[in-house]
This record gives sequence, C-alpha cells and structure tokens, in this order.
Amino acid sequence: MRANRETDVWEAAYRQHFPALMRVAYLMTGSNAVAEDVVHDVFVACADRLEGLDDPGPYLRVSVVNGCRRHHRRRARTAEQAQLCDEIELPSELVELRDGLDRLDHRKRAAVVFRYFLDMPYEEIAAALNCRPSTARSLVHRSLRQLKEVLQ
Amino acid sequence: MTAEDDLRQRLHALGEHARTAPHRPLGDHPHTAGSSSQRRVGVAVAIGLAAVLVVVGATRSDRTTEIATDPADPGQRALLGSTQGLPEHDLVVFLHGDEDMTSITDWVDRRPGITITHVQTQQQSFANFLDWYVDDPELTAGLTPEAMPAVVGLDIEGSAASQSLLATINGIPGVYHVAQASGY
Repeated sequence: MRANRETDVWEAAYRQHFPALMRVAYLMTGSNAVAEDVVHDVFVACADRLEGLDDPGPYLRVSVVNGCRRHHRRRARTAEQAQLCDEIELPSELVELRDGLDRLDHRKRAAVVFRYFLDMPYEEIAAALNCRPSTARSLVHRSLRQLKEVLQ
Repeated sequence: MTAEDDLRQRLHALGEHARTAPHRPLGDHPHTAGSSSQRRVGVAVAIGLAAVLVVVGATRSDRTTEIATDPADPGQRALLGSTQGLPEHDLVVFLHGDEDMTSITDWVDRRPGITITHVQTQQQSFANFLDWYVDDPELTAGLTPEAMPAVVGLDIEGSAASQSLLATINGIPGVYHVAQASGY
C-alpha cells in the first residue's frame, strides 16, 4: 500500500493538472481518446515521482508531450495511419489548425504548443525538447511559417 | 492581429475542445476510477484516487477493460502494456505465471458458454510490454518475463459477465486479476 502522503500528492496533482494536460495532449494528438490514454499513462508512470516535486506541472507537461511522441511512433510503427481525429464538429478555422498541426513533426508541434498554448519561454521549451534555446526559437519560427501556409 | 496572436487564439480555441473530465466518472471506491480509449484491445491507461490505481484499456469499438494495479509494484506495473495485440474478448484473465494456465483452461472446459479466445505466455506479455514502452527504459529496466503475467482472453456468451462470475474467476488458483470489457 502506498503511503498516504504520496497518495494525496498524486491525487491532488491529478485533480489539478488533468484538464490542462488533456488540452495539451489533445493539441498534440488531435484526439480526445488518445489524449486521455496518454495523460493517464503519464499519471501511472509518474505516480511515485510526484511527491518530491514542488510543482509537478512542468514535469507532467513534458511527460505528456513525450507520451504523445510515443503514441505517434507506435502509430507509425503499426501502420495505423488512419485519421484518429475526433469526430467533433469544429469550426473551419480550427479544422485548418488541427490539420496544420498534424502536418508538423513531433518537435515542431510540441514547440508550437509549448510556445503559443503554454506561453513557455524559449529556455523552457529548449529544456523540454532537449535542445538549445536558439534551436527552440528556430523550431518555433519554422513551425509558425509552415502553419501560416495552411491557415487562412 | 499578428500571425502569432492568431495562432495563439486558435490554439486556445482548439484546446477548449479537449475533454477535460475523465471519460467515465470516478468510481465509488476511492481506489478505482478511470477510462480511456485506445488500441484494438488494450490495457493501458490508469487513473485512480488512492493507493491502488485502476488501469483502463479499451478497444476503438468502445470497449473498456479495467485492471486494478499499483504502479509502485513492479509485478502489477507489468500488467501495463502486456496485453497489446489481443483480439477482442469479454474478459482478460491475468495469471501469476504460465504454470497457472491449466487451472483456468480446466475451469473453462467445464463451463459451457465460455470460450478461450486468446492465450498469452509470460514471454509474450514481456515482449508486448517492451514494445509498448520502448521509449521508456526507466519503466522497463529490470523487468524480466518472470515478472509479467500470463494472460487468457475469454469470450462470454450472451450478456456481460456478472459480478459473481468475476468473483468466481478471481478465486481460481493462479488468477492474479480479471479485467472486464464493457461498453461505455
């Protein structure tokens, strides 16, 4: 049985961060079902690591983005290339964005979500993507340029 | 509005379409809760409220599987990802080891209406697990096939398995856990 304190920390983190992590995972995958899988996987994997963190948010966010990367890799490996986007009625401008995000590779997509959804500074994006801040900045700018081509 | 502002605005609008509450409500029991939808069969995901987490997997055809597990316990953690690639089934029975297969197969032989749809050895579970968590060496480090469950998939004729049936299967020697598939 896990210690009560560890359980409390985990539960509090789940309650506090689940909605935000779902948004990130949804933007990274385009699917609520996959997003929920990824977020839950992260909470399982991180269950015994959260207690020592002052703020588990950044750790969880990066873990979720990495989980999304694993999802894309698995999807590619198993040739499951079928469109997994939710059958949600989206306004056309959001469909454009979703499709545009789908065309980005993982690092670019993560860079966009980190920068423009989470408003993370380049230093943090670089840490999350394991690259230099200048590389993160370049990734963001190239992604933005790529997205502008598909966004009306 | 700059392109950056436009993108920021659209991202937030798209993000609002994320489902920010678990797909299924948290269970009454403080140790159980969760939902997910994933691959063809799967046992994967987990949420929970207390010491023991509940891992939930599902098929794309809206079938879920619940497996109680504690990620702090390497043996139970091994359940995660160990059933990838299983065909559709109504129940997934996790066994301590390959040697426990006989007890469940003998039991099924005496039960008309229940058929075995899949048998998976510990070695196969191990291979599935490694494949599933190929990018997470921390999770797979130190695991051996012996730490993985053997798995049997069951098809139950008629309606979903009753609680008494689940309890009965749980009581079979060698059974580690039973996961139930159900629509949601």
